[in-house]
Amino acid sequence: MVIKIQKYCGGGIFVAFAMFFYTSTAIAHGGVTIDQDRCVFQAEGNSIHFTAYQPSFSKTKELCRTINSVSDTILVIDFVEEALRKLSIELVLKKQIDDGSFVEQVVLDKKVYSTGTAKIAMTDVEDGLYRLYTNVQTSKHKHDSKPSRQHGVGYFEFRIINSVAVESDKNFLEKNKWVFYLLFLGLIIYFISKWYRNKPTKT
Amino acid sequence: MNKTTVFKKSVLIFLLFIVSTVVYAHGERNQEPFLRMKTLHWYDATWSIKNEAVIQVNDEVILEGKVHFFSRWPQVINKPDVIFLANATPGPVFIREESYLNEVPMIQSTGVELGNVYEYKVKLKARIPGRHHVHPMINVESAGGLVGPGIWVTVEGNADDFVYSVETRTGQTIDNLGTYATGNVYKWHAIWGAIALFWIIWWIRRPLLIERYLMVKDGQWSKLITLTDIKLGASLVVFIIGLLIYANMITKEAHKYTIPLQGGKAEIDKKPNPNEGLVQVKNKKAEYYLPGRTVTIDAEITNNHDLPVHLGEFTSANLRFINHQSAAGLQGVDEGYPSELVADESLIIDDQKPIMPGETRRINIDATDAAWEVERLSSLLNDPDSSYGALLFFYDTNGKRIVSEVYGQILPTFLD
Repeated sequence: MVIKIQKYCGGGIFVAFAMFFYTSTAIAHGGVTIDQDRCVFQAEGNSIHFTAYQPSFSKTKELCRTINSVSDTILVIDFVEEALRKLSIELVLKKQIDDGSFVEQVVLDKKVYSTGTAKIAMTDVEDGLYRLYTNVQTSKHKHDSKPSRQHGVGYFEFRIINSVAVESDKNFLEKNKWVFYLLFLGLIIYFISKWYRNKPTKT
Repeated sequence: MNKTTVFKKSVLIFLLFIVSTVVYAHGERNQEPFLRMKTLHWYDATWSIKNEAVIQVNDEVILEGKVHFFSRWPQVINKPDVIFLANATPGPVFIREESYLNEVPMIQSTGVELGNVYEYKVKLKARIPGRHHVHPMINVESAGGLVGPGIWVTVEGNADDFVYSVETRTGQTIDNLGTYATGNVYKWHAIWGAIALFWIIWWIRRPLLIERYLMVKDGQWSKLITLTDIKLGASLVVFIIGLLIYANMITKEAHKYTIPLQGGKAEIDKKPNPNEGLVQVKNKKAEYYLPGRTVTIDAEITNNHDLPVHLGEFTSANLRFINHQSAAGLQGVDEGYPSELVADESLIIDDQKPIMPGETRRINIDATDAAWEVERLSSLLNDPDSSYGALLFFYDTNGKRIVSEVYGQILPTFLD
């Protein structure tokens, strides 16, 4: 049995090496172009990029689907598609309430963003689930009698977490669990080396 | 070696082959911003067809323009002592028929001097149908490909209809270089592949690492390589050398005149720049306002020209910000230029008055556009070298263009 393990160890090491050397380049946003970015959503078939900044908490770091602080937040919306720069766009930020529905927090009236970028400043931020709706006024809908907000199909969902509160609720073990992972790794290395040292040699 | 072992080893090898990455368009956006802002600045770029044009297999496309090698080249990459003019397309969907830098054929690599401008020309021929992004590109030794602005081209037709006919210097006409002597290529790859496969199988049929390691540990070196291994190795050496001699003989017989692969570099003379130093620009302060996607530059401009000048364009990393109050600046944008690389009326200059001869003036330049984020340039603030580089296009009262570099450190800000 030991001999069999040794024989296949060669193959195991081979695969381990293969997996070790198979590494992709680490790039922000998942290493993809903006077209495949997880912070991109669609409105009327056009791509829109969402970024959140919390200057007092995470400085220039670009945040997206999960925002880990309830500090002042700036949402930046970049209209990737050229076509969106010529259209009137309304931006609506909604927050989920207890009954599961979403209520309006901020509304930016219809406007043409010729530079392709818009921003919303959030103050008195609370944790919870948010949706940013972009209601694009396309020519197709210009004479629609319905309110414009109803034909905006694009929204981006993100969650704000009060990570400071979550962190303070943790007990000592939860806060320092990395120490135990490190100790566990040390034990594994110790037992492997002990087993290897005591293993019978082939004659 | 029993069947189970063979099967398991085959599975392990197969695992290696299935590990592959997905290739996306716009790879240029994944390059660090300081590489795109402080290496090459492409301008006056033209294509013989319009953006989003539809062409057929075998149709030709010519890319022309100027490329400025930035004088504040990043320290972390090699200087452009060895460069190669190429094209960036998603694979060999076009073939490159001709390429020139300052009218010198760029079949080989060359070297250039920083701070100078070179004229490029690349002639391509459509090969594979599809919608392709077509850029000029210069490969710099150690830095990789630095890509210029690109247009979208749709190639229609059948790839099997592609023909690349050439006439050799001996007068022989090759009907299609794309398929010329492919039989030979397959045959020789098969021969060398078979030899390599045989050699690999010869060794991996035995236990691999651990068992052999234990032999080494026990001092049983002689068991690692048997007498049969030595005999086979010697036979293979003789066989391979014999095969090479035979291959060389039959090649000489078939092709009497051959030229060795050329390893030298082509030499290019730089063109004198009569406008050098006419307008000097000093960066006093530069900031990137993240929420507004705005690069703000406080610059000191000295006009050493004998005519008044004004700023017509700010360009960096293939993005162009045009001063819409400058007729000369607006004229500089060709109709067919990719619109996603030209910002709308978003270049704001706080003082539009012409700078008089001999005058030094500080002006504030705001370049605002979502393109800073879309083109992945916002991340310059996280680079190990948080600095920027750009070109400013000034125009005198006669419409003459004067190109100046501007560069410096850039800081992030959240204050408008």
